[in-house]
Formats: sequence, structure tokens, C-alpha cells
Amino acid sequence: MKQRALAFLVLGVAVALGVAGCGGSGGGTNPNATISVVIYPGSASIPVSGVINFTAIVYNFTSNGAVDWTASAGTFAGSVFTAPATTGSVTVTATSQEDKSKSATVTVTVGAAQPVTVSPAAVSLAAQGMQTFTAAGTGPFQWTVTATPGADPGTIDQSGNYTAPRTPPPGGTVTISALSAAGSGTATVTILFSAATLSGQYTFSYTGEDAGGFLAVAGTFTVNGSGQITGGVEDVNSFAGGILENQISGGSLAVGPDGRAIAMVTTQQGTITWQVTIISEKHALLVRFDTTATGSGTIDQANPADFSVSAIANNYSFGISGIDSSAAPMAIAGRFLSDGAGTFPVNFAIQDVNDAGTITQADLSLHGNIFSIDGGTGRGTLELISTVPGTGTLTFAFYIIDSTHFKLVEIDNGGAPVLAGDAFSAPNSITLASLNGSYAFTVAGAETGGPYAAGGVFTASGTGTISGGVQDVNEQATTLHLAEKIASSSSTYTLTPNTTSNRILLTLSAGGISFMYAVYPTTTNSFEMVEVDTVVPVSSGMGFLQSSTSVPSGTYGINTTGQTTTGEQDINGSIASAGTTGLTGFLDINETGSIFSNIPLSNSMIVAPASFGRSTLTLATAKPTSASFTFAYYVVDNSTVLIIEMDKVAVTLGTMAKQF
Amino acid sequence: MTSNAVRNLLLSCALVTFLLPFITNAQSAANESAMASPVYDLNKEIKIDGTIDKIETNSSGGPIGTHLLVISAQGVIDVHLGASAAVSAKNLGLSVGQSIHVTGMVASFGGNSVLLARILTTSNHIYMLRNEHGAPVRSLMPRGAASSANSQKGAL
Repeated sequence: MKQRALAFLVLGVAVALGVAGCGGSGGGTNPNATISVVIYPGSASIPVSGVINFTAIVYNFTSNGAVDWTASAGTFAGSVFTAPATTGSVTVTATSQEDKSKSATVTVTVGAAQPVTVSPAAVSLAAQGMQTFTAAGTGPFQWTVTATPGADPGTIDQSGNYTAPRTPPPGGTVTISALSAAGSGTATVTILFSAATLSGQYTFSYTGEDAGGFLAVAGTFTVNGSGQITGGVEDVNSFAGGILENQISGGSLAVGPDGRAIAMVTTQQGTITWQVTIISEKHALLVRFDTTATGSGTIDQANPADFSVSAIANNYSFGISGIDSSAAPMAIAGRFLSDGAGTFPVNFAIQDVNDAGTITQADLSLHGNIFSIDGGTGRGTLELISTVPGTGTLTFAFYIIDSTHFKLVEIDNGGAPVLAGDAFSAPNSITLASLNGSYAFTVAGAETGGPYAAGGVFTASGTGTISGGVQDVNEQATTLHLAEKIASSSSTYTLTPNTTSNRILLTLSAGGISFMYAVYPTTTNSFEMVEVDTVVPVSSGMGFLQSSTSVPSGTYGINTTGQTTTGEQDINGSIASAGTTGLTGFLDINETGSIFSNIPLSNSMIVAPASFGRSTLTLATAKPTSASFTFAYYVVDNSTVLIIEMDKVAVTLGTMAKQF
Repeated sequence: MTSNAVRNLLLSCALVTFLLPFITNAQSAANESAMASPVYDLNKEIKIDGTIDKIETNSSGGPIGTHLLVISAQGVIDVHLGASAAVSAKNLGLSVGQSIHVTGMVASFGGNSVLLARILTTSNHIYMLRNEHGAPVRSLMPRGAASSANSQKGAL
């Protein structure tokens, strides 16, 4: 049997495979949380006398990350469990050797014998890990592996040697089958994230706060699939540190089994820490995880084939936000045509600018140019030019994900705004039919006196009417407007200033207030939006076509960001929902420079939606690190959820993205 | 025991007595919010008068942002103004040696007590830095992972 060792290197985490002395890598003290134990696989159904290779992860231990294994029936040899010869349920327990009051249990369902006995009958395996399976009986055996249709199940040869995929498939498991003349037998493999999940070139961005205030960063890095960051570059715009093109010379990526990872990124300005929650080999959520800076953003697999001016040939809807030259909040949404030759021609562009409540709607003076694109890194520079007061000529570094999506961070010196955001490919023309269906959205910004966030769902007819919806508003963590009805009678959307200007003016009426947004659809059933009324000074965000209203089910990466009593709070995590009431998992938090890792959820709840795919969830953590966050959530589809904090603790919002 | 020693002891006792509510508040705040953001409670507010001894932007013992070390009758107090550029010492016109009055709540960060300033009063300005729930008044909501839902599509 050959098995690639699991290499989980997250601080304070050990992989416990045996009874003693098998603590594995990691170590260290995390005073912010008590010991937690997680068992993989988290459940199993095997035949009588079947074998399971268990793995236990111990979080937040001080010196001993090993566990003791026990079972209500059957036997253990190290971490290898052999089921009893009778059917029934068996409870398996892994108990921390350091703190014997901390343990985890899983239920093993022992069923009837199969015609062919495959061993091990259940095992957890790191992404790209290898496991040899054996079959008892008379061969030859035909080996196959299956997963949810459309997902990569990994590969298996006809000797039973299996290699796991880079990303856990939906459900997190694959099925190994051995077929012979006597019949068949199966085994279940639980796929865990590993350093192998992220391999290749990735584009990232985040915004947040450092010692001087607003911080905006975008960049690219390359990782080799073994946890080594080999290079990259980022553009940083910081009130504290100024504007900098910062070379990335290396670094490391330590990945835990649930996709939560720590990246130590070596730059010419020193080492930067990110907490990364991997969603798939293509996408991850990012939190700046230093005591000197915090922030939230994303990581996306880049397509170097699109690192050229000619590839950026499309209409693009964009949304950028940040601060103006007076450090007041500012947001812009709009669209432009990139002609593939480096020009964004005038009369083919439009934007709405909200500069601390001074609003310029449907500005047609917008135009611009691409200055350069580095074919190796995907980093380019461009300028957006308009006559809108407070903007003028804005210069950005941009980083290409692919021809449909790139990241922007402004790099103007001295007295200019600091803005950052995204550009997505857009349809050639926008009509009323561009909004047709139910859309979940969130916006964030500021009002007089503090931070502001809103979110909801509305249903558009495709002809300019809104048939209903629901909206939540969090004003400064002081005034909460919960699940207010969006009134169809006074909500509408129009093409304005004319039917060919490719801009939608959306009015959503809730709580007796009409909220007006300039909306710029993308080609992926989403839209950028910026508020253009006088209800609040500034808000902006995105909306997404809703294709599901079902309660989230599965394991999700989560990111939230916003303002608390101390300043910005950024949270990443991995949480599991069985589609019923309970939520489990772990959070990693940067609370304005105070770092909290591996915080387990306790008594966390999710409520199924009654209408519009909107409901609530509560993330609560265990003592002694008690905290509780209550969110409204809006289902986008079976893998995406938008969330907005609805309590009087903080104003935050974010997203949940399905891992498996 | 010399008279100086007695005087010092009495001063120490007086100081401890004077600071007791302050210390109790700090411990209470720490106990209630050992991990996440402190819940701002107007009932736990204190007021201090003092002189700015030092202005820092990279405090190792508290949240990111602008910190004032203030010499007051209660000792040297670490006052956090916030992280926005709008509340930088420069933008608020603050300088070392300046007399200020601060209303805020004490919270614990990694064992260090920090006064989260809600109202800062100088000789010629009154700055509202936080609202009654503690949210920074001039805060900026970050863009965060807003694009994530778009990026996620088709990932699996």
C-alpha cells in the first residue's frame, strides 16, 4: 500500500493518525480557542468487517496533537478501524491526549457484506494523494471511480491505485468500485483539500485597513502545487505606505483539510500573511491576516492566454469603490468598450459616480486607454478619463483573471481618490430583458454617522416592473430594518437616459423609502450597482440572478468584512450545513489587527428560507471565545449565498461559496 | 517606615481606589468579548482629561489605527481613535503636548487595555469618532469579496 502523507501545516494543527507520537506537523499555542478535534471521514457506511483508515485533526493544542481512538464495537489498530462482523451502528471517538475532555465522534453504519470486499472500505485522502485499494476474492477486477456528474473524481488504474482530484467533488466523496465475475464491492474516499489544490498562476485582490486607513491591493502570484509560492507582483495603495508596485519573491501556502490555509507571502516590503479559504482549485477567499493590516478579497485562477491587449476586447461593466481625495467614501459603477487595441472610446462608455453623496448620473464623458499589459504576469495599467468632478484622469493597475474579468487598483499619487474593484465582461447591449428573474444583492457604504449595508432579493419582470422582494438594512449597527417588503407598486426599472445607453436605473421601494441604483449587467447574470439617491451618501455592490431558494446544504467557505467598534473586521471560515438547523466549522478572524485562528463554531444555527431565498443564520463560537453574529442570507444558487450582518454589534457583509 | 514611604503608600492606595472602576470595566469588557469586537456599552463609558504624550499609528497592543498615549490623572492611557484616514492625528489637528478630553469605553486587546474613544474634545473642536454603538463614524465599508459570487460560478 502506498499513501502520500497528509501535510497539513496550519499553525496549531496536528494530524493524528495513531495512538501516540503521531502528532504530525504544526504545533504551537493558540490562546484564543480551546482544543477541537475533527475526524475524517466524518461518517461512513461500510460492510461487516470492513476497514476504515481514520484521520483526526487536532486544533489549538499546545504540545500534544495526538488522539486516542475508541469504538463502541469493532477494533482499532492505531487509526485503522475494523468493523465488527455484525451489522449496526458503531460510534467512533477520537479523544485529545492533551485535553481528554475534548473529543469528536462519528457514526459508522455497518451493513451487509458485499460480493467483493474492497479494502480500505473508507478512507480520507488529501487532494492529489494516492491510495492503493485491494479486493478480496477471485479476480480479475475492473476498478472504477465515480463522483457527482461533472466533477473530477480522480483516477484509478487497474491495479487499484487511486489518485485523488485537486478539488473535493460535490459531497466531498468519491466511490471506488471493484467489479469481478462474482459481483462488485465499493469503497468511499473522502477528499480533503491540500497544497496540491492550488497550482499555477492566480490573480488576487483585497481592500481593508492599515495604520493609515483605507488599503487597496491587487496582484498575482504563482504557486507550484506543493505549497511553495514562487513569485508574483502586487500593487498596493495605502494611506500609510503610499503607492507601491511590490514584487513577490516567494512564500509558502500551508493548507488544512477543510481548505483553510495560511499563506506567508515574501515581498520586497517584508512578509505578508493571508488567511485563505479555498473553494476550489479555481477560486479562494482571502483575508489579510497581519496585526498591521486587515482586509478581505478573493483569489482566482488566471488564464495566461488572455494576458494581452487583444484579449481585452469586450464591453465591460465595472464597479470600483474606496475613498476620494478627502478620505470620504466614493463609489463608481459603469461600463466601457475595450476595442482590443487598447482604447476605451468615448460614446461607448457610461458611468455613475457617487462621491460622498455628490452624485453624477449617466456620465457620458468617460473614456480611457490601456497603457500596457505584461504578458508574463497579467499586470497592466490603464486610465479612465472623465469630466466628473473629483475624478478627472484615474490611473489603475489591473490584473487579468481572464478576458471576462480583471481586478483594478488605483495608483495615482497625491490628492487622488483611492479606488479598487472589478470589471466583468458585459453584453453588447442592455435592454429591460437584461433583468429578468429574481436577483439577490448586497450593497455597502456609509451614511452620516457610520457604516451602512443593505441586502435583499427582488423579482424583475424583464419588462420594467418589479413584482416584489425583500430587503434588510443595517444602519451603523444601530438601526436594523429586518425583512422589509419591496413594494411592487412603487418599484421599477428603466433604461435611462435613453434606450440605447446600456444603463438601467433601478428603484426599489422598501420601508417607505425609494432606493435608486444605477445598474450595469454583466454577461454572467450579475450586475454592478451604485446608489444614486440621497437616502444615504454612498453605497455600492453587486447583484446576482437567483436560481435556487433552498436552504444552503453542504460545506461552504465564508467571508465577511465590515466595521465593528474597533475598526474593520474580516472573517474567513469553512462551515458545514446539513440543510437542517445546525452549522459546524471553524472561523479565522482578523479583528482590526487582533488575530484569532481556528475558532470553532458552537450552537450555530441556520433557518430555512420561507420566501425569496431569504432567511437568517447565526454563527456563534464556543467559550472562552464567545461571540455571536446574526446574518440575513440570500440564496443565489446551489453554491453561492450572500450574507449581511443584522445585529447591533457590527456592520458586515459577505459571501458563502460552496466548497463541496 | 519613613514619611515619604507612608505618603507613597497612601498615594498608591488612593490611585488603586481611583482606578478600580476603570480596571473593573476593562476586565469586564475583556471577559465579555475575549475574541470578537467589544460590544460598546454607554454605561461603561469613562471620561479622562490629559495631555498627549505620544501619537502612534502602529500600536502593538491594540487595534490598527491611530493611537494616542495620554498622560492623565489615571496614568498613561492608550486611546484608540480609529483606523480611517479621517481620524488621523494630522486630519484632527492633534499634536504632542496638546490637552484633550476623551469619552470612551475601555476594552482589552491581548491583555492590553485600550480606551476606544467615542468623543474627543480639544480646545477648539469636538469630534464624534464613534456612534453610541461604537461603530466608527468615518468608517469605510470595504469592498471585500463582493466579486466572489461571480467568480464562484462554474468553479465546480
